[in-house]
Amino acid sequence: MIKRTLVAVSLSSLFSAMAIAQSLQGQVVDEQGQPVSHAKVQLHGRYQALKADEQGRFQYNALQQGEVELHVSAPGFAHKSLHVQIPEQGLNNLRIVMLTTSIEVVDVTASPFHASAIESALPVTVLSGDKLRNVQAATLGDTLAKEVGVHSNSHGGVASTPIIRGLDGPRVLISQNGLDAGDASRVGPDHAVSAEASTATQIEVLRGPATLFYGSGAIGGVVNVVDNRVPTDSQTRGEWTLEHASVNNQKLASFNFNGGLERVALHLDGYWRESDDYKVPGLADPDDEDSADKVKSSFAESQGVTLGSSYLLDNGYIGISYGRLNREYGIPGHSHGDENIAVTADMQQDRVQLLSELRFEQGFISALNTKLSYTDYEHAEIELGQVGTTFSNESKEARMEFLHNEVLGWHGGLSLHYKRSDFAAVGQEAFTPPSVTDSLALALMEERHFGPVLAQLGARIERVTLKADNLLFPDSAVHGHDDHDHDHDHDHDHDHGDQMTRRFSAEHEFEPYSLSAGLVWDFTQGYNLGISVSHSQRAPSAAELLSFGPHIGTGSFEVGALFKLYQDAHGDTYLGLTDQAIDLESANNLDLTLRKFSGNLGFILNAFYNRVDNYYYQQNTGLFAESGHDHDHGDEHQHGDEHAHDHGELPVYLFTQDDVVLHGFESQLFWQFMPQWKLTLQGDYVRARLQDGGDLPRTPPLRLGANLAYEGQSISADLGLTRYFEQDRTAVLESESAGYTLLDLNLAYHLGLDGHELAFYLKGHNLTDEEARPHTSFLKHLAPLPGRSVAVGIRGYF
Amino acid sequence: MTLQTQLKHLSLIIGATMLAACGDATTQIIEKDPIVVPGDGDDHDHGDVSSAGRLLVTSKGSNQVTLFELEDNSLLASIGLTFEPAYLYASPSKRYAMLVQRNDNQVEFIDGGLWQEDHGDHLHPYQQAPALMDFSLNGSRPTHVTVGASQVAVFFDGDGQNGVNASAAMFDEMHIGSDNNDYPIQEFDTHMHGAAQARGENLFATLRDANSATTLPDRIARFHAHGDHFHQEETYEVICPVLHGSAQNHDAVAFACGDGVVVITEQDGQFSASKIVNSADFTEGMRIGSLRAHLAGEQFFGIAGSQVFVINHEAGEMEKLDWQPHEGATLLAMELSLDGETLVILDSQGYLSLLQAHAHDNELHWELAHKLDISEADVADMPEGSRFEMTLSGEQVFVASPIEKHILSVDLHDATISTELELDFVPQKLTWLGIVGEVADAHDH
Repeated sequence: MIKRTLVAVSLSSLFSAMAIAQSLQGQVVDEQGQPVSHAKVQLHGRYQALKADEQGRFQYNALQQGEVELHVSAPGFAHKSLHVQIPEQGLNNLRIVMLTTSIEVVDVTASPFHASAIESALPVTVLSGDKLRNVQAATLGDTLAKEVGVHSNSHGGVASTPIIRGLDGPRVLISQNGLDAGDASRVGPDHAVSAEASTATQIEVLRGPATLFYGSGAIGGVVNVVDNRVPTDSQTRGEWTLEHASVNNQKLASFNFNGGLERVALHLDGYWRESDDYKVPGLADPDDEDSADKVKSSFAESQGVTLGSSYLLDNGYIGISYGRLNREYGIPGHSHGDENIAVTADMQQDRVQLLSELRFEQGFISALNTKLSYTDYEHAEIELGQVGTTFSNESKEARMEFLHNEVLGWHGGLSLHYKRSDFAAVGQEAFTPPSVTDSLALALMEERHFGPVLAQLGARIERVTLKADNLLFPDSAVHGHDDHDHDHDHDHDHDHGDQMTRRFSAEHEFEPYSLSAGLVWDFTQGYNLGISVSHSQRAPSAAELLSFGPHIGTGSFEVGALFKLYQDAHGDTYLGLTDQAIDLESANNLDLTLRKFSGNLGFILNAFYNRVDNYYYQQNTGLFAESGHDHDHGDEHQHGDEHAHDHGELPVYLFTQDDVVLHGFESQLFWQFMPQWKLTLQGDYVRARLQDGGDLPRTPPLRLGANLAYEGQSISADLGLTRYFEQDRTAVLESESAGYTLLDLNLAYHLGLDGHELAFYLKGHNLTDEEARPHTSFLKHLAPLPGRSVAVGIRGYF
Repeated sequence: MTLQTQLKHLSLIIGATMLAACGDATTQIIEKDPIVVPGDGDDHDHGDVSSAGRLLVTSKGSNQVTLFELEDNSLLASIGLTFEPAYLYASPSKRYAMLVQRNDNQVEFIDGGLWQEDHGDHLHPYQQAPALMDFSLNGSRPTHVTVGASQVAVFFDGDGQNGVNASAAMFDEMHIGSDNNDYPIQEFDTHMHGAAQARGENLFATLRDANSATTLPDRIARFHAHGDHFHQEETYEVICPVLHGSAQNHDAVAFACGDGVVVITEQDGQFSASKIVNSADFTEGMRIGSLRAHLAGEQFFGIAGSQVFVINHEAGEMEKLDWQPHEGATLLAMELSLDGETLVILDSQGYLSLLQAHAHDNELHWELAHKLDISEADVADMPEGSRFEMTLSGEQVFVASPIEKHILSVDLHDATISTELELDFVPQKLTWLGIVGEVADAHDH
């Protein structure tokens, strides 16, 4: 188990602060009146938290007279917020009663509001501690694949990214300590996310629109990977892991170290992971009898190292970190047909982050949070030793949050957020022209308790400019297939009239805004009801607007929304510059959450309805274009296209806008039926459809899961069973996907050794060796999920 | 085949400014110069932009020029000029032919239709039909045209009888391609049969004393381009009597004088001129009248009648080159191969001499490697006013024979005569047009 190390401040440092200070003394107890030892007591406006003693006692000195807000947390208990009036003579016997919970509650750092799974208006999921270590995988998508409301796009285990409530790509923001991951993963499913789970301390998922905090890219949600790269304390602690997995011969070594000298905190982490192509039950490609029982080009090798240091102040910290990530991985489904020439991606990222949090007890401003980052990302797609296409993304981001002290009962603040991304793709598959996207945003977030009701309000305005200088539009690139018996010479049979490659520079300016209102009503003890209503707007991404070229990752020739299909006098369709307005995408989202969080039985039920107007999606045009080279692997698979064009042609997909409705539910039930045993049941479902009829592609199917966990003195174990149902709500030219069931088992033996804790563990995945082809994957026909895998490892903490 | 060209002077704003209803969204699209594929064009990946190139041949007594596709030796186009061209040159990249109509005071340009464009990360080859360009030069008696790394200098001699002064123009292929007349012109204060060399922003050109008895200049000045004109920056003190012929190489610009060769070199932004006097091999009345050089080379080659001198300006030396001409052979043309490794001499006896360089004592020495008889005809049958002419591509020498009315091609490396192009007219001048070096693979965008 990870030792939950909480920051304890020496009480003596507080005594000297103010002569006329008031004091606050209290005790944290459970429902039976038993003390809750080592509870964390956070005073709103103070940076560092207090840790209560064995008897649950705590004391604050040097307080101003008047109302203060306390936030109390302890493992196994629901978090508690309370307002306390400090009288002139101080308060000496405050008794805080905590309610036990079967729900693991961890605070979310991704939101400036205080949020956790049980106390926010918008639904959140947090993975941390052993739970995170048990599910961590080589990719972020696979790490989060079993979380409620989250699926993986399962891109051959090398580039899987998370899908939140059926949305991904430019609608789900991947952030790292609250700052954009700065990679190319939002542009193509075969591009890996540049955030690492094995060195993360927690991963947070905001389900539903989070544009308020993160802007355009977060209309469908946010995945925030949190690590300690900028340390917030100098306590010495560390963690290391060695692991080997059978299915792909994966070897993993990782470590995390935190330390320092009083005011100077240091952090160092690193990891190294290497894996071969993974095994699958049966044939990887069922239509190809020659295909092997391994997914070709699903190997990966990656390593990363991060260094960070902070200066610790009484009221906060300021720190900087540098991280480098290298990742080399195969791109499954990207080979040259029978030749089986492996295509690999070589990715490198350098990231500098500067983070600071400062708290102020006096004055209007209670906190100033600053986050700056610079990220230099590049990945090259390599075949036969030659660089085919290079994607680069240089991004800069700055975010400042000014939180104010309570005003008329309201807490909150302003957030100023700037982001710039200089994106370029060069080479054969440079389907997007180089572009620069700038965004500047101002957001206001406020919350207030009205008795049992917590109200959260937010508004954000944003200006996004997108500039592309050299947009090429070759008239002849795209053509129809009227006759299906065309031969390889057909190029020469074309009309040999004048043909033109038009060139444009495009400049877009968008001003999306977001409004959100949420209520959390503690209608009776141990329950609450959350309602969140939001209107969010999103500026389309460069890829959605400007694409024009072959994208082998999706097996299609992608054309951005700047273009439109027209019909000529003969009724033939052709592409031209659009004559329609380029609209913002607007989502109106309603979220309802009912929670029971105290006692042995808890649940969280969410239902959502999300109507998205002017939703950008790719529509099959029925036209074809040259792929740029002779890949024949699979447009017919990936898009269920019946026509096999095996000489380097790709179906043309055009980004169009339509009104879309997504609705569904997520439910979790936690039953601590014995002190050491807990049963968790969960299910989720999303329906994603066009307003005018039809379904969106790659929508996750209904999923139900059960997990039985045992937590003993030295042994912990959990057994999970997840059923993915059949998906028959398919988009045009998309094939249905069969259901499958996955059985997983985790076992760990914990051993305490003189301040060092060791855990020997075993992780079993897909123990029944079931053939699983996720509907959410672009590669479902070529790359099913890995077969039975057993991983053994050892982990140490100190 | 990928045949594309850039359409000229087109920069129109579509001005598609679109407004959305709520939460502003504006889009502005500006259309830039498109890339056009005329005629037989498609944009597919066949990788067959011709590397063999094309041959432009002028016809004696005609204003029609003929272009051949060397890939298959087919007749590609016949283009009518305004007047009969007297001289023919290729532009720096060998894309355009420059046709000097001296007596008619005009220079016209033909796009050979083969070029490649730098797209940043790669070179993109284009192939299109040849075409007469809108761009042309008009001035009194254009004569010497010289080519620098990317620029062209055209010297207009002027007309002493009619009191028209000389002038010089400096421009590049961009001007030709986009019919852009925004290039500098130097107006001299007298007429002269002069010469000019364009080098960066500098133009080295000749000066003549208006009272001089000869039309040949005797001084050299450096001019600096300023918009549509030049500023005369400096005049070199060294006198260059009866100047005729100029060239430039990697290090220097040279002008040939009656008594030697003036070499202008640059050091730290300062230019200095010095003269290498004619060697002892020069007899009375003998002088260098033409200079040749390779833009990446370090030597100059002077032609004095039928003799060739190698000038190593760094050593200040001039050395006679023995190209072993047959008895009675006069030198008709001498060129360096495009890679600078072969010196090609065509003589009046119908022999082509290929000389190759050997490094010795840090100097290149040229030795005859091949001598080929490129005409079976009796040279006495040469039509009046005609002679053998040649032009070079990267790999071959093309020799036009007015007697046999054909063009032979000779491989520069193994000296084999490999093709024959039959003509139905008497060839005059010829130039090769095409992509120098390796043609990048054609591909889609």
